[in-house]
Amino acid sequence: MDILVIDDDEEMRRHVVTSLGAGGHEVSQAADAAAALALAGTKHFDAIVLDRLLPDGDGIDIVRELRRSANSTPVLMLTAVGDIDARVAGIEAGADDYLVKPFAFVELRARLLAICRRGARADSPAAVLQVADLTLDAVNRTVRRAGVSIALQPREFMLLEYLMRHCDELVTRTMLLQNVWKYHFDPQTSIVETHISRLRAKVDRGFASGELIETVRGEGYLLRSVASSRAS
Amino acid sequence: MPDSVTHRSALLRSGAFRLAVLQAALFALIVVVLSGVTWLSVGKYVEQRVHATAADKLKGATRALEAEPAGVLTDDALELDSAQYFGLFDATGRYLAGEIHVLPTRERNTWMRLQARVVGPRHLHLVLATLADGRHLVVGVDRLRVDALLERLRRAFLTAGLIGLVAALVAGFVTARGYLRRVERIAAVAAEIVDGRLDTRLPVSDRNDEIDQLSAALNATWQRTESLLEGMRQLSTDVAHELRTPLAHLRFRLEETCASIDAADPAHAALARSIEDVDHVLGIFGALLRIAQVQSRQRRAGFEVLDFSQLMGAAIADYRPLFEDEGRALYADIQGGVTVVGDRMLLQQLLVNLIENALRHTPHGTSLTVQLQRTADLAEVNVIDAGPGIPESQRERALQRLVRLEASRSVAGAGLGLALVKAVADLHEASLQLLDANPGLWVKIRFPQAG
Repeated sequence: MDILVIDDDEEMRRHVVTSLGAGGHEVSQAADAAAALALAGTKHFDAIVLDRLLPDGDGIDIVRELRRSANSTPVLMLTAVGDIDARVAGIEAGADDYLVKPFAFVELRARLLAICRRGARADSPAAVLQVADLTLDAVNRTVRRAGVSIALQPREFMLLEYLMRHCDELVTRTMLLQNVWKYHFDPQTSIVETHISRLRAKVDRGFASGELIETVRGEGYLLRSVASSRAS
Repeated sequence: MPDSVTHRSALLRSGAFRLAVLQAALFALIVVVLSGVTWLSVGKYVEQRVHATAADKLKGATRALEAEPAGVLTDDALELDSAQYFGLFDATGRYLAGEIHVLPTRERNTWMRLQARVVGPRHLHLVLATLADGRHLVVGVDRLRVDALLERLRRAFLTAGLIGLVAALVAGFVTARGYLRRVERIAAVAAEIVDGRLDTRLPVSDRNDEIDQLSAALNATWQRTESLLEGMRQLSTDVAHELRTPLAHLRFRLEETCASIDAADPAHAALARSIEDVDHVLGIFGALLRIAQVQSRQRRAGFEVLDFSQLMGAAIADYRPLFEDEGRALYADIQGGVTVVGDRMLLQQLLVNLIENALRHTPHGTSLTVQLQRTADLAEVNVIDAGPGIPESQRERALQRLVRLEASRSVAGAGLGLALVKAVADLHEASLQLLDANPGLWVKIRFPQAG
């Protein structure tokens, strides 16, 4: 993917550029708003990582400018300002996601991939999701695996739906908290882990086709369209 | 009925009303004194005039009688007009002639039934004289016109006094009301500022009267407070930013190094722990900033009517598995349809913090009870655990920032959970009490209910 990284903090930019480059992405960089807009105007990028606080302006204005010129490149906004209103302002201006500094690189990568996929997907989300032999009907709120109907708690259902919509993508704990629980704070207990383990017990244990939900240690979770080899 | 009673008592209590009554009472006193003095002096003057007339007439009649002792006794002969009467008595006081047939013992004002010509009693001013031959002559002047004059004067004073009193009452009420309304506006603006709308100011007119001066002084105070608070907020944001940047660099470098060395290397584990420590510092920092933000009350702008029952039900459903995994019971008793006006995200965090507080600070196997009920016009939340509780002497401290009670030192955390709960409760004008559940901690929060 072609990614544009805009941040006036040189060390931060270097780190993000190096890490993304190591992951096989083409990375361009800019240190201020003027350079960023000039680059975005001449070249197509698959995603933009944009720091909010720039020497010559607010990242929010850059997003507005991009959207005004019909540029729909997915934008992941970075900020040192962690409050909720700032997040809402960023999303309203047209950013696709918002990440508070400092962050783990895996968090940045996971969110970047997620917003790129979102752009590539159809506009109207599918009502019936199918991953391997797992089927989720978002309208009738039913789940079946290998033809067997599975009863889920409401939150487990939402969790599974989110994982299925992001199938084959890494989703981090924070992404789940924000999108499934709508928690914009960090709970001090293992609420995500507990619900994942409940969900696993219901949809992933005892099926011949193997386990679909994978834990990526220290990073997050992954629902694979092809079950892992170590079938139970 | 209770409405009109409250309304009336509010009016009676109002400063405008009291000032108006005071002003009217003062006015009434002045009117009474003024009218009284006028009435008395006019009365005295009129009395003197009547007496002078009567004395004049008596002198004339006496002269006429002495000049012609056996003359015809008529009003004309005695130079009396139609409103003046006489009576003639012998030395022993026996009636001889005239309309007046009773000899008074001394000069005075009296009601008297007159003979023949006049029917009915007349109010007379009587003067008497003893003639040279020993006969007594009495002359009476009808007080009809004097009485009518005094009566008219009395009525005029009364009417003018009453009109003046009402006018004073109304005028007093209107002026006092006008002034007090401006005072009320000051109170209202002050309340808005307490509520977090720091940019509210009082209008200052060109009159530059006392209220304007007060308003200007208050505006200046609030301006200063606002800029100080803004400065503090800016400072927090700046500090947050300035600290976050080096911490972000630190975290990235640790991450890079950690990724570059073998997982079996003991340095790998040490680096991983360092990253956790950085995250912990950032977590505390974030929580402190959030409490400060909640306390600044600016989030009140985003308040909406929320289904609190539903919010609570969701939080309990989310945490039930965590309790079950620890072999603990989570009892929920939630009345449906309880609404509050508030910030969804902050109330969600309040509930999560309360539940997690119990989860983390009470032993495995103990239960937690969460209740929501409507009492009168309040939404009452009770979170009751069966843990060791908090001694009464430490409860106040438990709600402060960065305070970790002795008993909870072994548990990771920064002591910000209950401080945020308190800040969120304050923001929603909810009362928060820490009580004893014998044993255990009982947190009771009462929210004003919506609608």
